[in-house]
Amino acid sequence: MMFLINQYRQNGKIKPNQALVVFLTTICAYSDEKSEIEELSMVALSGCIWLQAFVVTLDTNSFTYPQIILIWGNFIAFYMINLIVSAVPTLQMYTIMFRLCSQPSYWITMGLIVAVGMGPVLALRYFRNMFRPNAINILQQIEQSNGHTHTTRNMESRIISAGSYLTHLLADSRRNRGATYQPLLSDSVASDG
Amino acid sequence: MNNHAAGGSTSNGGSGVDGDGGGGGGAARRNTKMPKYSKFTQQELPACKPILTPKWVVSVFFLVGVIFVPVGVVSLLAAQNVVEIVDRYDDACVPANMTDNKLAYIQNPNISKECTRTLTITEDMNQPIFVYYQLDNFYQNHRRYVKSRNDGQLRDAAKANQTSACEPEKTTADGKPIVPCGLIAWSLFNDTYSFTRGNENLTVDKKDISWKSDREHKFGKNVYPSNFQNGLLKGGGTLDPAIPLSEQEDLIVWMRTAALPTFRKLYGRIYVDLKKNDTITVKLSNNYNTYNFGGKKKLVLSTATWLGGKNDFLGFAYVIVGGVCFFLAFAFTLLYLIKPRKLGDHNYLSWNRHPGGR
Repeated sequence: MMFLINQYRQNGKIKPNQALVVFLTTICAYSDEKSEIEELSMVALSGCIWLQAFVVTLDTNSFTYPQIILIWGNFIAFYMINLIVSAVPTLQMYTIMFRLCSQPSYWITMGLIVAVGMGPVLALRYFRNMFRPNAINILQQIEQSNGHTHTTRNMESRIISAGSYLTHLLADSRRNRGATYQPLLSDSVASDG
Repeated sequence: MNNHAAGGSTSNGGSGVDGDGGGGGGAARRNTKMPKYSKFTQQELPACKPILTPKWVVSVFFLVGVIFVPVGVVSLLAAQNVVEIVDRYDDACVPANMTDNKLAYIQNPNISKECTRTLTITEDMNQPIFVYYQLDNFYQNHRRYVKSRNDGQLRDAAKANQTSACEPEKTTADGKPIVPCGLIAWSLFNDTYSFTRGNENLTVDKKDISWKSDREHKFGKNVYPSNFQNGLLKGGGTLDPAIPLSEQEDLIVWMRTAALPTFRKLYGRIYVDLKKNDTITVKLSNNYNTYNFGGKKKLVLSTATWLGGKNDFLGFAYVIVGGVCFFLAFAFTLLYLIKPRKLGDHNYLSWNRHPGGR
């Protein structure tokens, strides 16, 4: 079962400490000693799916409808596929997902996995954005503040200067495109990795 | 996070103005290469670009705390309501003169395995009361063990000879197929229990202890045990060859392999309320050998709630996580009030920082 989680972690966005959260929470929550193998495996796999949806949501900087459809469509497809597989009598998974979904402890366990897996990530992300922002964070924040319709005379000069910095940065990136062009997001990837 | 739809305000579709008016082949060739305009291809879809702002982060943590603490308290109360009586009997049932050689005791068919245990009910137990046997240090999740079965054979009498994957319990010495084959069935648990309270016999209902889906779809109505436990080595209980597998509920329960080395399986249900300070006498048959691998055997009487058994983990974890989230919300609020940072301050851009520090 640890192999399953490890395999899934390598293919997805879940970090090692989050995989550990999934594993330990599943073992402890279902340690009332009546669980059988398929049930326990499916609880752990569900935890990975839930965490993945939230991790990708937190890492996404711009949501258009394809992003939303793909993130939560993956989540919904997981349950639909497993409910379908659970309806096939000849498979080991027969009725497993129906049983799990009808147990309150299953959903409580999922909530716990998400909270423990995402809480530290959210706190650290917020802390870093506030106190050690990189250029991407600052530009995102500038863009958000520019989007507000209400401005005061005092803010106008700041907006103008911020706009000039944006222009400067974009001009730089456009000018360097032919030589050593680097996508803006590489900073984000490097710092968040 | 601050939400704002920032639709693209500029369009790159104006490249037509660069073409020569009335130009012949060149213009036509260039026109055919131009991709069709769409908001998707031009990256002009309306977008939500959230950023982490203090009020949103504090609100999320506070909300999680508000949800988690009550759920945790309710879960703890549910777990507390479960009444559970656990009695370990594997050591206590060995005769006094054989405690140094338990293996000889359990392997000697001439020694009676009957044993009497006395349980005291510590709290009122409302029916239904579940009777479980618990095994420790028994790895039903071992890969070669858990694979040692053939589901096709269990389901269909015509596939009695289908014993692949059942090594080393496929056939008898003279080549006849074992039904049910495999190590899981071979190691069927075979202790039995009966209960009395004073002069009153407490009936253990052994119907419906297995999954209905297992009885109806995974174990055949026309599959009967044959050549089972006929070898030199007996691993566990025998089966009545006149009863089809779909009605052998002890076998079906046992073949739902446990995920962890310490596990409980349902033996039956008692539909009688037990009162505090009742004394229950258990007559049990201590047949199953756990002595040669250092296992333990326990008898468990338990009630149940919507949350399942007596497991405090979820409740405690929820209360603790909720408390931590409240603390984080409070700490971030204090941090925001004491040391505010302006969002989007371009003085923090690296090329605007003073050398040697921010």
